[in-house]
Order: sequence, then C-alpha cells, then structure tokens
Amino acid sequence: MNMERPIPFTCGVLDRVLPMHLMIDAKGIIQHAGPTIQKVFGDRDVVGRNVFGLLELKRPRNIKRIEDVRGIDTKRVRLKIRDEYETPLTGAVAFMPDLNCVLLNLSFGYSIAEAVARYELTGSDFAPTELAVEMLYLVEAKTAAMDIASQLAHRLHDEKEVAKNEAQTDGLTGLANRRALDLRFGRQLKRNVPFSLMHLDLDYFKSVNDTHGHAAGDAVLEAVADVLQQETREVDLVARVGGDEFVIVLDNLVCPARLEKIAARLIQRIEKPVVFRDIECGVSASIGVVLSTSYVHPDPLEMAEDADQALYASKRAGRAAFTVSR
Amino acid sequence: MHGLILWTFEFFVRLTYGNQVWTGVLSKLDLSLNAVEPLFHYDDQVGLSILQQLAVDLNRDRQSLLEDFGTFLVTDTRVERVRRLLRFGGVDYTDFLHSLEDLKGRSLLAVPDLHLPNIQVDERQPHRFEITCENIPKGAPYVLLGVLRALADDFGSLVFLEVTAETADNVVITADLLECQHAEGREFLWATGGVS
Repeated sequence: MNMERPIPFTCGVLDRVLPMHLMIDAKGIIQHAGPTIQKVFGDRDVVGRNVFGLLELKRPRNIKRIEDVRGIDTKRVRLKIRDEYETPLTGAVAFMPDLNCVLLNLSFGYSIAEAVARYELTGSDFAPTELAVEMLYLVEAKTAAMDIASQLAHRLHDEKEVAKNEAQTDGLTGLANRRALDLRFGRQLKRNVPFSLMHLDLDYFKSVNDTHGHAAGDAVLEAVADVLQQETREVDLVARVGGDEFVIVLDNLVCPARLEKIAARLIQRIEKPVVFRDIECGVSASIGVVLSTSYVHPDPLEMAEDADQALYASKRAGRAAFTVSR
Repeated sequence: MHGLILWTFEFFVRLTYGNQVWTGVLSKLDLSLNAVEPLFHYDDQVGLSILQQLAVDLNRDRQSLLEDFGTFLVTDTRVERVRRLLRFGGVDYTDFLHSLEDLKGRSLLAVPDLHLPNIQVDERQPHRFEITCENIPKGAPYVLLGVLRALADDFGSLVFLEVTAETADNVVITADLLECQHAEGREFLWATGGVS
C-alpha cells in the first residue's frame, strides 16, 4: 500500500503558508520564490537565477552544487544573503522526488530586527505561524525595559555616590572625616606606597571659642581647612578627626626635609589671624609627623599613636612647633 | 499594580497637566512616595487614590481621565514604544482588535510580573466587535477605550466605540468598524529604532 500519495499543489498555496520559500530545480535554478523573498531581493531577479548566486551556504560548508543537496542529512542549513548586508538566514531543506526539485524555506532567525529594517518588511510578510512578530515585540519590549533599568541603575549610582560622599565628609569644613581616613589607611597599605602621617592640633582654639563664641570658632576651622587643602596635593588626604584635630595623609612623600618645610609653612599660614565680624581670631598649630618607612610592617594604629606622641612632643616644646619622628 | 503602569501614569499627568498637579496630588494624599519606581509594585489602592485626587483637583470624572491616559499612550511621541508594541498586534485595525486577546500573554513574555487585564474579542456580526475587558485594576477598560479610539486614527480607520455593558468584573466595549481604510493612518515602521 502506498502510504504517501503525491499531493498536487500550487505555488500559491505555498506562498500563503511559507512566504519565504524557494523551489529549486535539479540544476540549481530557482523556479519559484515566495513573496517575501521577492521583496528581500527588491529589483533583482530571483526566478531563473542560480541559488548559489543569491545565497551563500555557510553550513554545511561542503555543498557547492545542487546535486549535493540531496546528500544533506541535516534539516537545518545556515545561509547568508549575497548582498551588501550579508544578512544571515536559517533554512529548512527538503528534496521533493516527484517534482525533482528542492524546497528551501527560509527564516531570519536572530537577525529579524535588522532584516525588517533593511528590507522594509511588515507583519504580513511573515507566516502567521512564524514567531517573527513576537520576536520584534520582544526586542522592542526588551529595549524599553533595558532603558528603564539603566536609568534606574544610574539614578541609584548617583544617589549612592552622594550618600557615600556625605558619609565620608565633615559637614562643617568639607574635609574628609574619620571614616574616610580609615578607608584611606586601608587602601594606602594595600598599595604599598610609602607615605607619611601628619597629625595637627590647633593651639589656643579653645580660647577663641570661649572668648568670641562658636561661630568664630567655626570660621577659624573653615579657614584652617582651606589652608590645609591649599598646602597639600590632590593625592593627599586631609581629614578633620576631632574638634580641632586634623590628620593629613601625604602620599609617596617621606623626605623629612620636605615634610619639615610643609609643617613649617602650615603653622606659618595658620597663625595668620582670621577676621570674623571685625574680630581678629588668632590660633596656631602643633604638628607631629611619622613616616611609613620607619616601620618594617606599617600599622595604621601604631602610626597614629606615634604621630600623636610626636604631636605632644611639639606641644611640650612650647606649641606652634612640629616634630618629625624618625 | 505594576510600577510601570503607575510610572507611565505619572508621566502622563506631568506632561499633560504639569509637574505641580502631580506633586500636588501626592502631597495631598500624604503617601510616603516621592517618585514612582517603574520596577516596583504598588498596592492598587495607591493608584486609585491618585486617580481620585486627580479627578478632584482637575474637576474631571475618573473615566474620562483614564480614557485620556489611553489616548496619550498611543498619540504622544514621548511614549512611542507603547504605540509600537500595540501596533505590532496587527497589520490593520481588525487584525489589531483580534490581537487584543494576546496582549496579556505578550506583555507577560516581556515583563513576567506585569499583569494586564484579560480581554476577549467577539465578532458578533460583520464589522461589529464586542471587546470584553476585565475590570482589574478598576477602571482599566476605560484606558483601553482611549487606546482603541486613538489607534483607530492611527490605522486610519473609522470606528464607532462605546461602552455597552459594565459590571463590577467586566466592561464591554462595542466597536463598529465603519470603514477600515477611511483616512491615511500614521506611518508605522516595523523596524525597531536604533537597528539598521
């Protein structure tokens, strides 16, 4: 019993169901092309042309002649349109013995979005069963969702930066605070670059506060902060760690002579009176300095303690002085 | 309610009635809400309260506000994507109407936690359609009504649309397609922006 009877059909039927199909004869000449294929090739002739002239077979690669198509044992072939875009295509291929020709049905696969733009296609150019429109829909929706997600990510990032800055900044002077200093210590040690630590404490600050009030004291602190910023480099860190206490991390700077020069200049500038509401407020500073190179294994706590010791040595020496511990 | 819906509604209010109207509504309601996050979820009641307050402030009824929102989604070029997603449904208005049944499924494909109302489309007689839209969240069918009106223009079709039945669960919109190609519709490029 013959299970498979030849079914008479017209190409019009195929056009409806498979608008991207090609019928190729035994010589490799295209006998019929679905309407969407015609549209893709625009004003180029399709019927009557050799299929290998229009399409490049990418996989399987060894097929150069239509006779070999019969031997293809895979259902899926990968092709490329021979045009300026080299649009990739996926194809399903079947040999039709009764007609002695090859039926090749094509699809754009992942290149659908580009293809629709390039060849000016619309929803009606695709078989209703093909997921082309769903795919376009998803591409569109995904792009929209990505836009929203990326906006959100940027907004969160900005807000995080602001919060981080606030958390690491001293509200009055805008200098770094102790939290920022601790983080800097950690980074400094990891980088393994020599550095020095300058601990600075204002002298006579309490008397400015007591005599002229807290507003005057704040003005002095702000002026001192400006001096510290101006006399250090971008790479250094200036932190306010207490009422009138400051710590400066000087990156890659361990030359005692230079440090002494910097300390002397800081004191000199800080001693310049600050005028607040016509009142001259005078303070000075005592400084203690330690160098990371003085330690085999520099430890922040130990260095801070030693800097503190050096600072108190300066205080004992009569204030307005600096001590570089070696 | 998905944040995307409320977020788009915020966009509609700000662009149509101004920023003060939106911030005014929020401050009167005293919601602990400064900005709507499109990827969050909100209680339906938040949306309904906002709508109610907006109706009071603008001296408008809620249904016409929702219908305007629907129109905005299709006509305003600043939310072009919504129109595009809807137009992908069909090559003409009839085709589009039938695609409404897929709207929920399609949007789930794109945003798995976005639940749009169920929609059923029946062609009762030639060119007369009954569109039954689930009334969740409450008022949603009126947004659809605005969308349907605006898309008729977009396709260049002449359609008479009205609400013919309303229950707590469902709203039925009847669409009489008078002329499929009445006027030149708005241009629609199937290609996604940005690809070439």
